[in-house]
Amino acid sequence: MKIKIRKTESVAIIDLSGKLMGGPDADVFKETIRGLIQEGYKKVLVNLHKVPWVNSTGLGILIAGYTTLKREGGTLKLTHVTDRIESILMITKLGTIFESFSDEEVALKSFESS
Amino acid sequence: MLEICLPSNIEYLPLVDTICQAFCVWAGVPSGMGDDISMAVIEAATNALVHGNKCDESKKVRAVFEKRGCKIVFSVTDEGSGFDPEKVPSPVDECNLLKDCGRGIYIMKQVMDTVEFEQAKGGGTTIRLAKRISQNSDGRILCIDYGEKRLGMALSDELGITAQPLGKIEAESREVQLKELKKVAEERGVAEVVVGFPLTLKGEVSHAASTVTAFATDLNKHLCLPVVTWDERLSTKQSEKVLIESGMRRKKRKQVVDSVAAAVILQSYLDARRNK
Repeated sequence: MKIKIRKTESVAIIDLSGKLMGGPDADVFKETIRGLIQEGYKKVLVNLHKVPWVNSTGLGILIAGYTTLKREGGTLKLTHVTDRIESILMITKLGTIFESFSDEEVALKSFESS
Repeated sequence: MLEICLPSNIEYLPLVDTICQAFCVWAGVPSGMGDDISMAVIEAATNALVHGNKCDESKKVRAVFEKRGCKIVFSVTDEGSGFDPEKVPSPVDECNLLKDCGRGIYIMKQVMDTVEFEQAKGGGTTIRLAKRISQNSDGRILCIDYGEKRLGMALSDELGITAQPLGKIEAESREVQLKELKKVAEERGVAEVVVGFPLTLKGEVSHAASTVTAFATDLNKHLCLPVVTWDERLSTKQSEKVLIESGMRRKKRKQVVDSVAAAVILQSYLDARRNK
């Protein structure tokens, strides 16, 4: 898993690429979220365009990020979710937790009202 | 059958995905189903690598991919100390929804038709996942001539044209009967089961019928296969006659009559089905 970060005024966009499968990636993602919170970014958009699939431990990484941000009064949303990821979110009912968007602009606008 | 052996490192999971997808194409899995099946197999492998072998690379995970009739079966075995799958709480309960682990078994159960766990005595757990990939009856049909102490069995060819006797199971315990039948069904690629249904000579439902109906219901639940009942009148007498005509001695006749009776019932079912 590779991470790139872009920032708008109030939202940090995390571009993930590769497979999201747990293991060492979990710590890297956790540190990234902590770093963003320290910089004052509590609204995070995770772009999954280049992540073909995730497994349950990969979902755990996203959930851990979501709960960390929620505790700080922030939130984590998803964009460009592939069909395979959509499927696993639906099966695990996490589609009800993660707001997900196909368009980055729309996703960024949604943070303005939250 | 395809077998792979992996070191316990999650870096190998994409390889499991690639192999599983290729296997699904080879096995004729309908398009669109391969991704979900691979999702379940990746979960079984994740479970074995992470929870079973605790990512200890000296321990291996074995994955076996099989096509059995109209089903595909995956077995994933670790070298860990085992766990109780019943103790894993439901991850979709409101209170567990935000937990960052515990979803693997649930995903497997949602995607596959059956998920079984087997703990070996010397350590190691096998997760066996099965999914029916075709509704067409291109697997074999197993026929059972039910008796309380003996089950005569017969099997059709893959095209469902001819019936052959297939020995008998001698057991009084329903649990043992079902276990043995499941083994036969899996080994022989069975797609459907026919159970001889006892009507009286006048065509009325006999006293034994309720026992057979209960047996057929148990069978359907345990094997996850369609089970039909079929008129078995005269099958045992008819098979005795067939055996006498073939010159078989009484003692030997007694040994094979149950499976020949099952073959007579099955042939009658196959003929009726073909002439429909």
